[in-house]
Amino acid sequence: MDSTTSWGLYTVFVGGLGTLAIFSFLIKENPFYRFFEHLFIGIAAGLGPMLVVRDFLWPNIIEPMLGRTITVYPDGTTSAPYQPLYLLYLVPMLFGCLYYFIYSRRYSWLAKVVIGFTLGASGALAIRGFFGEVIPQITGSFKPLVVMDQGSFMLAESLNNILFVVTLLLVLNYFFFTFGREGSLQGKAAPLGRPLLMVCFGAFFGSTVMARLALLVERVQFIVIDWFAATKTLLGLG
Amino acid sequence: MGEPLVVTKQPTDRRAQIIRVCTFLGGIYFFLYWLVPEKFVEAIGLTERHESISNGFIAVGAMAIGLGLFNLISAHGDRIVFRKQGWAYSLALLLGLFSMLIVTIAQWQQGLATTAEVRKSQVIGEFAQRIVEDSEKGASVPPLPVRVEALRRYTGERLAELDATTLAAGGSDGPFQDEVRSAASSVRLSLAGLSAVGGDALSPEGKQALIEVAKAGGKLGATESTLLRNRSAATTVHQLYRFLYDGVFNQLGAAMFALLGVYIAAAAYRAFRIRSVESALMMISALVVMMGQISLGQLISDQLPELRQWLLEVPNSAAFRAIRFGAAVAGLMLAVRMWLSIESKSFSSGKGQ
Repeated sequence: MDSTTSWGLYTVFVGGLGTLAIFSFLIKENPFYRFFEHLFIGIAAGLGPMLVVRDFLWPNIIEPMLGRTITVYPDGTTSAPYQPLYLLYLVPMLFGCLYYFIYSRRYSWLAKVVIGFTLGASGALAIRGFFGEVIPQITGSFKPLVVMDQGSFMLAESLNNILFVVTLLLVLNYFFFTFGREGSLQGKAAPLGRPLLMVCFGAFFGSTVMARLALLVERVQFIVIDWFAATKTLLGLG
Repeated sequence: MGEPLVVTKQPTDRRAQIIRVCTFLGGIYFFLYWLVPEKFVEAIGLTERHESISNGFIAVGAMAIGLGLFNLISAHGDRIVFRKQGWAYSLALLLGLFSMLIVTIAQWQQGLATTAEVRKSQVIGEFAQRIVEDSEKGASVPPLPVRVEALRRYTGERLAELDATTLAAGGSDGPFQDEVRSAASSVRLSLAGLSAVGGDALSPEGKQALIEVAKAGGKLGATESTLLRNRSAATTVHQLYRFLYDGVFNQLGAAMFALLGVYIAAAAYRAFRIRSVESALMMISALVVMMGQISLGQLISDQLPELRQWLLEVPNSAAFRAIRFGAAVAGLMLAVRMWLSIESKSFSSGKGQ
C-alpha cells in the first residue's frame, strides 16, 4: 500500500485498526471485533456479486450478446459479423432466474429444477475431472521400483520409489473396508498404514503452522512498522 | 362390481420427474463431451462452440447472485428496522455491503469509459491493418480510396478530439501526456504517407504507408491507455475502491487467517503431547518440517532442510496421494449418484418448501 498520499495513510490506518480489532478476539469476543467482523462480511458480500457481473457476465455474456465486442470501422465495415446465436444466452439466463421462485410457497419446486440442473452439470464435471485428473495421477504414482540411469543402478532413487509405492499401498489399504479384514493379509497389513498416516499428518500440520505463523509475522510487522508510522503522521507526531 | 381402479399421477410426481430429467440433462452435455471421441466432437463443430456452451452453463449459476444479496439485506434489514439485538453490527454489515457495491460499480463504469476512449484511438491502427488484410484477401469491401479517405478523416477528427480533451487537461501526468503527444505526431506524419495509396489496387508503397499508420496508431492507443489509466488511478472513486479493498477487505482477511495461526499454535501444544508411538511420529515429522524451514533448523543441522524436503516429497506425498485417491473415488460415487438423482430423494420429491 502507498502510504505517501493522504488516502494511502488513511488506508493503512484503518487496515491496522481492523487488524487490532480482529486480534482483540484473543482476549475475548468484544464489540470492537464484532463490528469489524461484520464490516468484513459486508464488504466481501458486496464484492462477490460485482466480481461475477464485472468479470464474467459482462465480458462473456452481455457484451457479445449486445454486439459490443464488434468494432465498427470509419468506413462502416465491422471487425466481425454479429452472431445472432449469442442471443441464445437469454435461455440460460432466464432459466437461471428460476432460482428466485425459492421465495414462492407455491412454485418453489421450480427453483429445484434449476438447482438440479446445476447439480447435474457439476456431477458430470466431477466425473470428467476424476478420469481426466485423478487417473493420470494414479498411474503416475506407481513409480519404477528399480531405477537405472545410463546402465547404472540408482540406489537412493530406487529406495525412495519403493518407500513411495509401499506407503501409498499401505495407506490405501488402511482405508479399505469393503471386504472382511479378519485373518486376511489385508487385515494384517492395515495397522501398518497408521504410523505412515501420522507422519503425513505431522508434515501437513507443520506446513500449515508455518504458513499461518508467516501470516501472523507479516501482520505484526504491518502493525509495528507501517501502522505506527501512518498513525504518527496522521497525529502530526512524525 | 366395484368402481374401476383409476390411477392418477400426483402433481408432485410429475414435478419430481421434471426435476430428475433436468438434473440428468444438466450433466449429459459435459459427460458426452468427455466420452465422445475428439475427432467426432471436432467434426460436428463442437470444439469451437464448447467455450460458449460452458459459459451458458455458468450463466445459469451466475443468475443466483441476487439470492445471497437478497437474503443478507432481508435478514439484517429486519434486525435494523425492528432494533433487534445486535442491530448496530447489522448496520455495519449493510454499510460495508452497499459501500462496496456502489464503489465497485462506479470504478467499473470508470474503467469502461476509459476503455471506450482508448478504443477510439486503437481503431486507427486496427483499421489501417484491416485495409491491408482485406486488400490482400480481396474481400468485398468499399473501394480502397474510399476506405483510405475514411481512415484519413477519422484519424484527423480523433487527433483533434485528443488535443481538445485528453491533452488539454493539465495535471501531474506531464510525462505521460508528452508520450501521447509524440505518438499523435507520429500518426500525423504517417498520414502524410497515405497519398501513396492510389487506385483500386494496393501498391507496395501504399501497403507500407498503411502499415506505418497501423504501427503509429497502435502506439497511440497504448500511450493513451497508460495516460488515462494513470489518471483514473488518481480519482476519488479509485482511491475509495483501494481503501475498501486494500485497507479493509485484504487487511481483515489476512488478520483472520493470522488469528487462526495463534489457535493452531495452541492446538499444536495439545497435539504434541506424546501419548503413543504414533503421536511421537507425528510430532517428529511436524518438528522436522517446521525446523527445516527456518534458519534455526539450519543452525542445528545442515541436513535438516534436506530431510524436510525428503519428508514432504516421499512419505508425505505418498500418504497424501492415497488419501486423495480415496476421497476422489468417494467423490466419483457421489457425483454419479447426484447426476442420476439417487443421492437425495427429498430433493427431487417435487414437494414445496
